[in-house]
Amino acid sequence: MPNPILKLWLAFCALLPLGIFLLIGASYKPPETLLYWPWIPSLDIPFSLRLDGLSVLFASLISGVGFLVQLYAIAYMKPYKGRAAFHLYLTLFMLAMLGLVLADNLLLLFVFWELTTLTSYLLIGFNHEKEGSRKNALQAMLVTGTGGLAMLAGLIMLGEMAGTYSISTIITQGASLAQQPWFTPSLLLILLGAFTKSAQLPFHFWLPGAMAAPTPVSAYLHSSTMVKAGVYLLARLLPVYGDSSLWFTLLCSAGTFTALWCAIQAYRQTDLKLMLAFSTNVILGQLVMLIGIGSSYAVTAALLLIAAHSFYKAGLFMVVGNIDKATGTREYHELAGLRAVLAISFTAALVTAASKAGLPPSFGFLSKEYLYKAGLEFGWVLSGTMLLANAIMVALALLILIKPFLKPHHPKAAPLKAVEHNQLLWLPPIVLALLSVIVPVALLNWYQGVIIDPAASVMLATPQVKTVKLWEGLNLPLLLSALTLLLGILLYVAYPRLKPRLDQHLSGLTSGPAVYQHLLNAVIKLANWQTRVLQHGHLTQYSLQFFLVLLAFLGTVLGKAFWQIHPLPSIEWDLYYYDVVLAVFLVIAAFVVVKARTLLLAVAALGTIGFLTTMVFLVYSAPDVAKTQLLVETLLVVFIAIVLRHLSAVSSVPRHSTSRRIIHACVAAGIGISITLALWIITAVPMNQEISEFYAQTSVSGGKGRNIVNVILVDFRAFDTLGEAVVVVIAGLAAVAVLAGKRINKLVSETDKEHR
Amino acid sequence: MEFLWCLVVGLMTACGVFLMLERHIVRFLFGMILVSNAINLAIFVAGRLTRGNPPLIASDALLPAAGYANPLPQALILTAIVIGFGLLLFTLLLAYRAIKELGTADMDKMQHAEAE
Repeated sequence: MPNPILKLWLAFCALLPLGIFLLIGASYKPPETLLYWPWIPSLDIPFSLRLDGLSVLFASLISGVGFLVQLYAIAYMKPYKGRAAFHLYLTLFMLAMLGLVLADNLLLLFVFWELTTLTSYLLIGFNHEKEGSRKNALQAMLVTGTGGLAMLAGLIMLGEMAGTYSISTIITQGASLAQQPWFTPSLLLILLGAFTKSAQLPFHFWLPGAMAAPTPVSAYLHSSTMVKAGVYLLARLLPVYGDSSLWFTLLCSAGTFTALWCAIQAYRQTDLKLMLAFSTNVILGQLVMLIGIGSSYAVTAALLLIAAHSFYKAGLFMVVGNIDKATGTREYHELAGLRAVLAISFTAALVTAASKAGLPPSFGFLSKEYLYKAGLEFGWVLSGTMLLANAIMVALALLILIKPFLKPHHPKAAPLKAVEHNQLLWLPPIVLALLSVIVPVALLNWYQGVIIDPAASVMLATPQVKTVKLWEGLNLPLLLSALTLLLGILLYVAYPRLKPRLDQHLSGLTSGPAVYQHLLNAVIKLANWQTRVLQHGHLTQYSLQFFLVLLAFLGTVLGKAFWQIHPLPSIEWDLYYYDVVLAVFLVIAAFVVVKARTLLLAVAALGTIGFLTTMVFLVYSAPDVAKTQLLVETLLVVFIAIVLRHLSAVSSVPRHSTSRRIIHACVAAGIGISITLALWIITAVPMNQEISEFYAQTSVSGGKGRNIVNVILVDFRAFDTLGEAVVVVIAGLAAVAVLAGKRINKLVSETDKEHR
Repeated sequence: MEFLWCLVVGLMTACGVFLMLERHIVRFLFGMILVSNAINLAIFVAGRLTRGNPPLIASDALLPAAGYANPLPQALILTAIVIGFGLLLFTLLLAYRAIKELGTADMDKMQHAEAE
């Protein structure tokens, strides 16, 4: 792409999300705005969008963070090939994501859901020359795609239960659907979709794998957007399923286990990006748990945490991207002294890490307070596990900050590159860092009025909206926050001794990717097996398969027909002697063709059949057919006779084994009997003569002919006859081509040699 | 009398199908000819059989004599016979060519397209 066009394209990609962000802001009137376009009216699927507190929160994060990520990517992707395509994928992904959170129709939502899966596949696998990238992209797509299909089934059940696919209508029906028989199956299937998308245990493994993507993708998809799609869906459907105890149990257990397990995993990583990836799993677990609790404190906490996490995690990813740029590595042990070259990034890292650790007055602190408040309502287990997970978050924040930035640079280590002359590398993380502080300090009332209140009112049946305050005096949550910090610092100090021990204990466990790989291999094995069985390259077995299927088909259809016909039609013989003679000779001739051990005898028998058939047509008032049959049969026998001496003798080809031929005889007999029965049923029921009568009546008046069959062929159905003539001409031409064509034998043997 | 022909058609089809399962390509072709004949007869029988009253209109009449044979299946079979002939001719020459090129009439050995 020439330079000016590329620049224009990049500017467009960056400004599009900004425009959408402003548009959403302008068209959103709390509590909600509905937009409606007909899309597939015949299936009653409208393109309907809905702006309310929840979708506006997500949509503005997607477009706002999207804008910053596009800016960052312009700088970050500069040395990459195909950066125009990269921005295209990113833009497409953003649009799909926006559609997902704004859709007000279940099926529309599903379409966008799958579009995010597809576009994220392109993004994760962007470095497609690397095998690991392709593999991880495929893994992410298969895991989330499979979940998406399960979710589609669940959504259809939900739509059928509610009698509508409009999400806003379904939500107003609320918990009244709980009595329906499909309630639990739909709940489980939708959870499968949400859990795979939002990387909950045991599907969490694709998210760290997706770190094969370039860092801007991680900053976008794996902090603020795609992984939260599952959370969004759960939040959206909270009014429908929230009262179910199954919902509470599943979400809370999946959420807490994911948070705890992935926190421990994050603590074990040495790659900074993987640390962040696993800690994203932790936050997703916490969000799922909060929605599972579904109290007003929990909903408030979730609405705070979604935004807080998006800001600091995207910022931190960008900082890690800059570290990668400056040093060429993200390994914890190799990083030191970065403050010298990454001064501004360090500032951004400091603030975002503080938010991650939950230090006041950051956004992270605020959301953590409410997380504890929500957890405390349900006893110590939930808040205790959250405390442990959050303490590990603190330790991670310290790990990312202290050694890489503050420890002096090792003289033997790789030299550091100055990268901050490019403003676009440090501006976006700084903006995100600022937002992490400004929103809780100065914009809290605005956030409450625009996001929390309207969102809570659609998520909760009886909204008791909590007014969020940064400082609520000394209370238990604050104490827990202090405890978290203390424990986090301890974990940081213990890191050098604790990590090897954890590695020792945990490395033997079966990992998610291994299970996934086993399943994938099993599917491929199954595919190979069925290809071997069905596509074996033996022509006669193909014929056998074909006739077996035909027999099964005829058998079922006839079996059903026989049940319906009662009593069976009586048989009227009404025969003359020549009927019987013709029939007996035809059957004998057919058997002779089968039994003939020379081709000449078989051809003679075939000719006999042709001429006997001619007689049949003649006897039963079809002179034109008889004439044609006679001519065609004569020609065919002549042709076969000409070729006959070039064809191999019957004895030159071995016959099938006796058992195989018995099977063949059974299949052939079955098909023959089916045909007889079908024809018998057809001739036993009264016939509709309408069309034949029409032809007979209009033959003279309309076709000016007295041979009705002729009139049908050349007048009423003249186009058919023309087509028939064309077919015969084409067959003749093709036959000439077959005869005169270049010998392929030579070609075949040559390619054979090449293969050997 | 239709039932007699139902039996004949069934037997001819069975013989044809049995031949189409054989390994010799020319016998496969013979099976096809047999089946194609049988199916033409089947269409004919399905339209009912009439003795000695072809669907022709006398020169002084506007309608055929009462009880005339059903003309529609006859027209269809005429088309089927001709197209079937074209197809069979093509298949015959294809088989001839295959035997020449591959040096065998054994269908289970005609595997060049799927050679590994």
